[in-house]
Amino acid sequence: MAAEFLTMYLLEEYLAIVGAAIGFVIAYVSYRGYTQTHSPTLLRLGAAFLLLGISYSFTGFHGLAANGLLPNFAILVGTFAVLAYSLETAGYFFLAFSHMLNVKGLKRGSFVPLVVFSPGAIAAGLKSLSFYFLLYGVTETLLSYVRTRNRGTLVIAAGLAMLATGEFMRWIGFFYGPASDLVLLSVFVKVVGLSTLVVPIMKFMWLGRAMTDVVV
Amino acid sequence: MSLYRTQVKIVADVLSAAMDNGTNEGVGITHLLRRANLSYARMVRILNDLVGSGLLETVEQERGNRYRTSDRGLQFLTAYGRFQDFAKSFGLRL
Repeated sequence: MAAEFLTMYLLEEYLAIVGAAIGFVIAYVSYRGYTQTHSPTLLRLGAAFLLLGISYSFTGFHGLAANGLLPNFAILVGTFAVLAYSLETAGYFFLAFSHMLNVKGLKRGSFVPLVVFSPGAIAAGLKSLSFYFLLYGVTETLLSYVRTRNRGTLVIAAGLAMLATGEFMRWIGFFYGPASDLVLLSVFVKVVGLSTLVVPIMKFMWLGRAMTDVVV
Repeated sequence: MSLYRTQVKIVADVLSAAMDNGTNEGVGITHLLRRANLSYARMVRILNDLVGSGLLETVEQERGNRYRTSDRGLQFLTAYGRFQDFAKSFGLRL
């Protein structure tokens, strides 16, 4: 049971490192796009995924260190966890923020996300905010799909929805104990969700559209 | 719910409009105004910026300046199209 528990936890840590790699790749492509077009949208997208990449890295390495697979820097572990959650929340905020700026009539109070802080621990509050921003991102991405009928948008919306579901299941899983099937299922859902975010990058590469250096 | 046209989109519209002629003669400001749907004052400001950054070239003629998209402008439009698809996947617009 203990070995199974450890394996499951490590699976989550390795997933976090894979997520970090995906985040950094998307951030890199977005940044290249920004340098070539000077589009603030791409800058915000890049910032979002850079923060998510760093956050996932912290989560992954923090978990590996906590399980004794990396030199244990016990003093920093708690700080790292809160820092990781903060960066994750900031990343999801930027993702949601990118959509908010594209909507005309925002000042007229159309669909402004509310900021709700949990009265509990900082980490729990940040997690709930992350979940909220993710849901907002999913909603806006779906609305964008309805407007454009772009299949790639639908895939990303599905990916974000799976990430949000995974986060929610992970949170619910705490009530049933860390070794519950729900936690394992949440890891699986998050793996699939993260993988779908790679689709636009793969499309970008496979279409033979090499990233040329155009500096405006 | 209507959407704003971003500055990058406006620049892309102006550069595309400046390619309309298909010859090296360029196009006049009236054509650009009609195609890019901008006010005269704003168009003049944007044209100055684009010429300054090398995305547009001016072609001097007797009846006034004409504008054509430079090689750098063409590269910008290529990059714009590529990253527009990328952003669209995330439900965003450039």
